[in-house]
Amino acid sequence: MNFGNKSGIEMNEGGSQGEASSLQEADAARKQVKPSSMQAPLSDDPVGTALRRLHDDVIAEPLPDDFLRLLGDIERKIAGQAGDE
Amino acid sequence: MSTKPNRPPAQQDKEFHDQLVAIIPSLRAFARGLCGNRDLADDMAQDAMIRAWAARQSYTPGSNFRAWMFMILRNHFYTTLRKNSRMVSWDPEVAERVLVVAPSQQDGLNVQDVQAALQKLPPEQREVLILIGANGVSYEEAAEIMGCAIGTIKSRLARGRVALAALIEGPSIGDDQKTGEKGSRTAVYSPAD
Repeated sequence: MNFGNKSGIEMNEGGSQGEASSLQEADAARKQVKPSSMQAPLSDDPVGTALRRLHDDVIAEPLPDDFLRLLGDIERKIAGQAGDE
Repeated sequence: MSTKPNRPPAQQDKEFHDQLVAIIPSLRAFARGLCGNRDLADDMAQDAMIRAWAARQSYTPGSNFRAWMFMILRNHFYTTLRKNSRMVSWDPEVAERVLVVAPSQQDGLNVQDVQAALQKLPPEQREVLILIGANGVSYEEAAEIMGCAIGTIKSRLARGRVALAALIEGPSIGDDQKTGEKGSRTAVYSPAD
């Protein structure tokens, strides 16, 4: 599967616009993610706390550009598909 | 497969895309826990997204998207692990090198210590610790993702937890490899299931 920009699909919107909307959605998604604290088995001990912090640290990171580009490619494919109908 | 013919493909794809966007943070966290390395993990998460997109017709709308996505990621992880013998992600020496980077910062256990210790565990124990302990998935969902019984999940979690605690608190972390190594390795690699 090729996610380069060689698809030949006509674009209805600019790539940067698509990426910006992806960023907003990803931010919203990140805020919705619950802190993973509801599980009893590892809740109280230091190891469980550290594991959750490990997870929450990654969740809190801004989305790397690679991911935004990938989403932008997918969005362009969807836009092209809609245009074909 | 389970497509819904009453909706245009573009709309189905848009819905799929939205779920993909929403899952990225968790997917990255799962991949990071498995690989112990940011770049490798992000590559793997992107590969999983590309595979998921290519296979989107096989996803049943309304079913557990996270479990479906995580299954793709872990399959990709284990396939890569088998293919590439050099990618021994839980290599203790690599884990020790990671430790050098980690000054202890906050109160509680150092996150990097835990990450490094995780990489020393057998992957089945590591992933159950990450899924349940870090990502907060239920036993049932973990069993679905890993394709095994809930009892297996519970026993792996129990063993993994003990092994991880021993690694973190034991002398082998941050210490000379040669001294504590043998004993702690024996304890960590207990017989499977």
